[in-house]
Amino acid sequence: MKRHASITLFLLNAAATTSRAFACPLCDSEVAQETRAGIFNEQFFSNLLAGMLPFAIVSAIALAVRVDWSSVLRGNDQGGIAP
Amino acid sequence: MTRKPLISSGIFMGVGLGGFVDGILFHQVFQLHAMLTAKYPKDSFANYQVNMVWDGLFHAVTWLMTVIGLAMLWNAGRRADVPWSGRTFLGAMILGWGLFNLVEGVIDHHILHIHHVVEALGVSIWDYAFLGSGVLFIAIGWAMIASAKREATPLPRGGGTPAIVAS
Repeated sequence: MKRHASITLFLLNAAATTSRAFACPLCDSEVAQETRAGIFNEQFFSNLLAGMLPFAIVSAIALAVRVDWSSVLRGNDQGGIAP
Repeated sequence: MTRKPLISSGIFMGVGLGGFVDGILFHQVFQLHAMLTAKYPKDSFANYQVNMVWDGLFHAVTWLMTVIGLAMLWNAGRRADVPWSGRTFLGAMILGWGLFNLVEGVIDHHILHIHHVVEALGVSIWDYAFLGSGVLFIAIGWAMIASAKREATPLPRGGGTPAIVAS
């Protein structure tokens, strides 16, 4: 009897706190649905592009530093990216 | 001899570590802005979570930049034709940090307006200070790399006695 009461209390507690405990983006709650709607919408790819564009540009610059441009411009077969 | 692999790896690491400074300090500790606070202001719990997800992606890419830089540094360290210079590498990291601040500031703060340094103010003096820090770091990094040109000395790699002989 005492054991059943403990289990019942645990389940009631879990049910009462579900909406707060399961607020992660992958969970099944109202907030989680709002979160997913805020992420996976028609602006998802433009947001992704906006976030990643600076990294793409600075990566291109960092890789360009590695290239032996004098050899490339001369059309030398030995030129290009340093190994 | 070429310093290019060392400089390139330093720029990648500077971009990654500079990105972490931005993300940890401004996004998390001071919470002045998050990745998309201009589009999703932190006025609801769902918007907090949306920004947290995009901040997570931002940190994932900064982590990737750091790992790429580390791998390139490892590769450069094994080459006898790459002079080993802490000043060159530190200069390249500062240059990379400056590049990140300048490019990210121009694109995200001023062109796309997805967030601003102090979101509550919109475009403010702090956004221009962020760009200024980028220009300053680039100048410092560039100067350090230039001044280290004569100091860089090759390590006795390849020609030296190996510590571990592979079987």
